[in-house]
Amino acid sequence: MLAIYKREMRSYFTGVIGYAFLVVFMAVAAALFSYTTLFAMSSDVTSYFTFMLLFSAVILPILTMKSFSEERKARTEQLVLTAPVSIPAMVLGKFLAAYTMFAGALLFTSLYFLILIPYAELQGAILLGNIIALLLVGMVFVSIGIFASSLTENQLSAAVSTIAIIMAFLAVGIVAALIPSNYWIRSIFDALSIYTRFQTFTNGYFDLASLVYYLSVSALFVYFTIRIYDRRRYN
Amino acid sequence: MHSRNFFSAVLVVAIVAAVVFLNIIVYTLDEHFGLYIHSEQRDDLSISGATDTLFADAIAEGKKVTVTFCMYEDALKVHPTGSYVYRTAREFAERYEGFVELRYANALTQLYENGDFFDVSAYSKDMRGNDTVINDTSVIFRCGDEYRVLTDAYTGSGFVDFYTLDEEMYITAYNGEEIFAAMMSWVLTEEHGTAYFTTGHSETPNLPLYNVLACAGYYVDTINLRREDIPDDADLIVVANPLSDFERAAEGSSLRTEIERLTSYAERGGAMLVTLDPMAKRLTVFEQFLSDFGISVRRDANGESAIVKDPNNGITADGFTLVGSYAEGDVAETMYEKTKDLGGNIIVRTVAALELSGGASPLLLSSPAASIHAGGETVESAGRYVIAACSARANEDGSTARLVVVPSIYLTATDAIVTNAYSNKDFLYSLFDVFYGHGEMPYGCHSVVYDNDILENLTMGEARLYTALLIALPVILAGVGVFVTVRRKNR
Repeated sequence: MLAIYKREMRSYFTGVIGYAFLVVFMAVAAALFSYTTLFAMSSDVTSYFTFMLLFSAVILPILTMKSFSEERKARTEQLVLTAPVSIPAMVLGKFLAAYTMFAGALLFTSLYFLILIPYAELQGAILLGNIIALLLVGMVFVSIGIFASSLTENQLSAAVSTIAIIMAFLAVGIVAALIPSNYWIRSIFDALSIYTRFQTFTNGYFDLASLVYYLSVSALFVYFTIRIYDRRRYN
Repeated sequence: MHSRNFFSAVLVVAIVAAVVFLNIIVYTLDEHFGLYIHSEQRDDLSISGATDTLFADAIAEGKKVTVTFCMYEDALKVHPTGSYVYRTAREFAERYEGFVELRYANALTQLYENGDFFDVSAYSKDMRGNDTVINDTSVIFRCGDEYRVLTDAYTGSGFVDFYTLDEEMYITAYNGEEIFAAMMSWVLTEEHGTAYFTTGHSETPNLPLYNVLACAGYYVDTINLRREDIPDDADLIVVANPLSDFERAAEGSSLRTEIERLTSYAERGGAMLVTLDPMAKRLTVFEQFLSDFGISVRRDANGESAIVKDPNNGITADGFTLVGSYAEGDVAETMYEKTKDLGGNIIVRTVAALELSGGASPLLLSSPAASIHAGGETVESAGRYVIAACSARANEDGSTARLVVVPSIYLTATDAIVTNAYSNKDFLYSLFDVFYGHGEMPYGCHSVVYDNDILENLTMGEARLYTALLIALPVILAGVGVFVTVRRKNR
């Protein structure tokens, strides 16, 4: 798994995609940070991270679209399937590499909030909650992305499929908000909603149920990807 | 083959079901047992020590201030709003041991906690003979024969005098240190003047300024100059944002109207503080009165106020919220010396430029980059405009009439006063101290401001600089990426 991880990380920076991802991520993060804090004269971190969540829903599919579909298109998939590395190790290696790119970019851009320290009392718990929430949401998005990438050899299709699945998860939250809170089905939608659970972290609540939700959804999509490749190997 | 596919499908369904089941279990446990950690922001209620010099003389003279709570200590410790006041009181008592004594009494049983008799009737009237209300949330400050009773007779929470409330009666700040300092100073002083707010010109109620004046040691009252003369105990007349003009008697008339009363008051050494709304219509008569002191609001040919704008040194993008700096001149420099170590900027929003003549002196100036905006256009960019001024006029009887004019309603707005970041309140205190000679002020006391996410003191110039630096980072990274990629391809 480590070899796959290192290879993937190297490939991000030998090609264009790693630099392009980081440049776009940092530029958009800088613009959003300025818009939501500096020019809004506000130290409220919540709006910045909400925008970053929506931005991540678009940029992460672009990062993950080549994970598996590139190998299929280049017909190097057979090499991977016959390599002396287990399918789970291969999938996890690629997953962790993509997640490392995202997490590294997010943690670096979170340092922007240090600028606000001389001008306002930052609520550390709220900031930390938002960072953790976005890291967990990013984990889900990356797992969805590598799953979609494993289904097709067309990178664009992989990206579009990823965005569609992510938007479906986010739409659950929108539907939940429309249901009156006294209906039992509202609690089911809230439980399935990525955004509703994101909000509990952003309010400074470190909620075990939400943590289990994000980890289990990520694990589920990684498992689906493993199953797809496992099936492909034996077929 | 088919059995393997079937087995795989069953396994996937089972895994999904297990994950769903796990989430249901954890969710249910969370609902029942609250499986979460909530990090709450710690409230810093510790006193800042800003009052050490304020009480130095009184301590040296061996004076003693008694603070009596009309609630026993155990009940006070757990009272929702009183517990913070209790903590501040304890800190004062510990810091000024021997100078501040705390006592706890029950107003109903009229007994102190140690069993002594608590004479509630001694506080049934204030020092001016007005009725007071004593209940279990009253706090009585006393030094010798001087005393002051703070009672929350309006809200159900108690101790409202120690807090700032918004329009919906929600607490927005806790001002315990300042209120303790002000009330202790109050009872250490034997004489207290009265500040009268004028009424009858649609003046907007200025609660923050009212509170600052109370903390500065004034009694605060209102006066309608159309109906009554200015009493002898008037230490200060406050004209706060009038929207309609003052009355002046016709020439040769013996009638005493508003301007005549103000003129008489000034001629016997009266002091005035005027805040004006530059967006309101011109107050011809009143501004003529001000110009007799050498202070005029700058206006264009159409009579519109010349508003000062500073996009680079302002703290809002439109440039109309400025940072003011102390001017040169005896009064301004003395005020600056009193407040320079306290930190924070003085901010004003939508402020007109003043024109000075005669004996008037500038107090606050805009930055050199400021411009004048009138009639929707920028008409001048000379910078360093006067945005607050004072005038001291010697009278024939040897007294001195004093006037301060601030052509903005924002200097004394709640979010400019109830904050630790701006020094508008300390500017006002230094005004009362240095210019009006009202004595030592509770400079530098801290408030605990709740839900305050405003970026205070960040100017638009700084915001643009930070944005440019943040955008430069990805640009540099892009350059590195291009360099590395091209170099690798050319190998």
